[in-house]
Amino acid sequence: MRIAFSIWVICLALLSSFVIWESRSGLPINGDLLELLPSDAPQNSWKQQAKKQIAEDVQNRVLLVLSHEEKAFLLSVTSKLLENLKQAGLTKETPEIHSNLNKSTLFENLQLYRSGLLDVETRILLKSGQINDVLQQTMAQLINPFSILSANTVYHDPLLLKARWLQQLNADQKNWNNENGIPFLMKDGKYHALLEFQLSGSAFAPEIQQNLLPLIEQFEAQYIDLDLHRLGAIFYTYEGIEQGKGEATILGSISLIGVLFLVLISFRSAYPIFYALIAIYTGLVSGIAIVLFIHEQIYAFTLVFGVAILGVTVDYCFHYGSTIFVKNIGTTTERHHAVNKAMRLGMLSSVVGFFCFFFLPFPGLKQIGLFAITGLVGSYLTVGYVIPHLDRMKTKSPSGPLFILSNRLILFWQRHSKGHKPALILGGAIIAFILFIPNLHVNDDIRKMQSLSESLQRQEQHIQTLLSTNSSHQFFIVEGQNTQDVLESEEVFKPVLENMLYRGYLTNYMMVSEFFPSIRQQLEDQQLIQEAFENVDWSAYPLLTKTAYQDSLGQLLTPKNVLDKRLVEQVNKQILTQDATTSGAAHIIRLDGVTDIRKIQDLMRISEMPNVTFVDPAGDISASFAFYREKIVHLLGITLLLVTWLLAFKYGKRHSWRIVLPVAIAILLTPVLLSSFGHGFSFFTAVGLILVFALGMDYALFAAESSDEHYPISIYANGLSAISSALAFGLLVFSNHYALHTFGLTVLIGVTIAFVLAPLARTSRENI
Amino acid sequence: MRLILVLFTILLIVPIGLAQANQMGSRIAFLQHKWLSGMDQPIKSEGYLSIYPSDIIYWQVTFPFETEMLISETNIIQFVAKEKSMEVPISQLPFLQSIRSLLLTLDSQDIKEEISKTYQVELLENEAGWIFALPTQKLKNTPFDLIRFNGQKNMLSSVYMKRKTGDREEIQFGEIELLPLSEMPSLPEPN
Repeated sequence: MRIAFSIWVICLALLSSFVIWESRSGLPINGDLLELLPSDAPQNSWKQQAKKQIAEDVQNRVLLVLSHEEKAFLLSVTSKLLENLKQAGLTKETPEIHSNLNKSTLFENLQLYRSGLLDVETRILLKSGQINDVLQQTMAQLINPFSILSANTVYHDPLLLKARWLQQLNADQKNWNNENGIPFLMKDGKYHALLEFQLSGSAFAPEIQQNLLPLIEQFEAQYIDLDLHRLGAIFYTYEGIEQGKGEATILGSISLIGVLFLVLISFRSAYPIFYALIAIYTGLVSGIAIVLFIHEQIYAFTLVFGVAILGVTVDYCFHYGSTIFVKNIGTTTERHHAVNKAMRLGMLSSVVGFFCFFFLPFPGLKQIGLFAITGLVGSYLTVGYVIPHLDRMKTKSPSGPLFILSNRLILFWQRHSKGHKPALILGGAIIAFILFIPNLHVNDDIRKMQSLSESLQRQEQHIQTLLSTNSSHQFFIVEGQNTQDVLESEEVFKPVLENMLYRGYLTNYMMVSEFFPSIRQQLEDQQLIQEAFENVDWSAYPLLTKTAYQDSLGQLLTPKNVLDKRLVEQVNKQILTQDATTSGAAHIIRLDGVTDIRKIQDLMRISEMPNVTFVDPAGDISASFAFYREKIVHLLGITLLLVTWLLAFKYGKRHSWRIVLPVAIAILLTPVLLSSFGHGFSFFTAVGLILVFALGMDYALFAAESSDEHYPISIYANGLSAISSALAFGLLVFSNHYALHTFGLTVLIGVTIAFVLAPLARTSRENI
Repeated sequence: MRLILVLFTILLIVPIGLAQANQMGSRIAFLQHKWLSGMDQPIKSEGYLSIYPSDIIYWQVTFPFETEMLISETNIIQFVAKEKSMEVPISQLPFLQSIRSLLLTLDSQDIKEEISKTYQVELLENEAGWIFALPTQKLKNTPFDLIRFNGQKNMLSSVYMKRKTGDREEIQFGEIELLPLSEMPSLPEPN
């Protein structure tokens, strides 16, 4: 025992040192949920790149709208806020006004390319032979006393192509004015000024959050009669973190106090807490160390669920600790032997379950499997070979309400475990399952899992209404052999997008070919103008000339020709860069106000555009959740069968089934009961069921393996475990986060069923 | 009971009607000549300028073809054959804000005083009438070299504008008609 203890101390010291060394600049946690999910096949790596590009652009963008009755005051205050943001180093670059507003200045050198830049309406009019209508509009402009059109402009551009082109690009921003670089508009009796900028760092970086949020709050406090609305991932993240901190403090405190209280009244000693902490610490360090050794970084997801799974090891301590209540039991080694068989089987059954995770090609589950196996083995060895060495607890007689309750449970099962009663109970469970199963429904939609701040959502809606935009996370990817090929495909796809607009499936779209038409389109437009000009009676327009566009024919606009690089930068956000995993070229089409994803997908199916892909990142995550949920369910099924088969070697076929039965019932009934209460079967329910399996197997095995003398104490320890699980996980029911709430509820219901049914495993043995 | 209801309704309706009747707009006929550089003959157009109590200016051309324009505090929208053909935020044409302010004073009781007060300049006045040149150097990004207003007594009779490009135009105004809102031309729908 002493040697084992010494080895454990050395191993723990080495593992701890390794984790500390790897965490010298912070524990390398990867919080990116997308990386955790199954990666797309190599041919879809454009999709991965586009998702990342858009996420970075959207995540670090901040929009602030300030509102006040007096324009001069508002603009001055907005400029001041802008200056403060710049001084605090929070803006990536000089904040630009809302990107579409300055296009007229971005196209300073458009004149040379004007004959190739036809807006859709003008193209239709020219194609249908209505060139005189276009020229009449020009004349109307010309006689307009407030027009800035000069005779010279009209002489060189009688169709006013350049102005129409710019107007088309500005279409969604027409209501915004601009003064001293600050866009503003008047609405509902107030002036509203807009500040839009990219953060100098990540929206998830604490230093950025801790600088921006107080700065804005201070500003609001300084100008109390000013309304300030905000929009940006940083605000949602900050709210989420604050809410999480609050919940963690309250629920964590209640849980900790509850478990301490439970241990103190049950064991009349604080030692079990100390032992549990050692077991959990060993499991945690072992799990983190092995994951970091193999993967170099640990998913936040692995850490959260891995730690939850390690909660099982508390049970080992409870079972070991509860041996002090067994009469005539001697040394700590004897006490360990009394529970070791069940503990080892419990640990092995969990390890078998988590081992199945390695056969799935998903990084998330593989890492959880590795973490859980290492952690469980580490904790098991600690409870088996270290804690007995440290143990200073003395033998006591059991007492208290919990002991009375566990004895009543034993009596109940003694009365109902003979004859056909177990079969009746099983039949009852099956009937309950059949009755509830129509209610079973799944929920994989990540959009329904979000619990976003209502105040921030209202502010977001206010800003989107003012901007007449509603940026969507969905987008299209257009692929081609080269840039021109992609631009041409965008132009072919444009009528489909217009159809979607017309049907109200979306409110706007932005694509590269709007700024830079394909060379083929530009040449076609130039040809169209030449042909249309042949049919004009030029004598009716004495100022206008047939040769107006002569200088621009053959001149083609490409990003290289644009002098203002801000436009190129903006367009670049929609152009994907070729890398080792991709070939050809691809562009993103950004979308606004997507209202019906399914209809868009349906329209795409019949549009026959194989090189255009609709991407719904939230939908992809939801699909991945669904996929993981299904895989976990399959794994649980396989694990139950595998464990039953393995237990059959020790207990025989019939009894092995009965040991697995309580946990199987818990796993089957929990999701249908949850669905009956309106909670769809989600990925987080499935993860909760893994814990239910691990805990439930322990309860059944401890009940089955105990000697007659030790049996009441095993049930008592099972009760302690179930209550501590309820305190640790069940309290998560009160969390506002969907994932934690669902996980907590699943564990609470599942563990309760598994605990109540666990004695079936033992009573069955007596019958064979 | 019915009598009370009728009286109550009358008492309610009469003030609303009176308030609406008090809402008056102005309508002025105009004749415009535009001399474009490179052309010998001016382009002639004519129509009506209407000013609404909500400070919306409606510029309606009836000859040589129908075209309309709405100038609000924020936008200028042009319509050709009742269809919207152009919409530009006023912020893109900063000089227009000054001209708009001036046009809105057309229906004031004493346009001379309004102009003096707004631009803090003295009008040149003699027996033939008064003349006032808008200080274009003070206007932001103006395409005009000169904007001159001519009037007689409390009436504006013409505006002369010379552009930096060499194009020129003169708009002559007729008499102001004060009309109740119900008789003012109906405004085109921007959308």
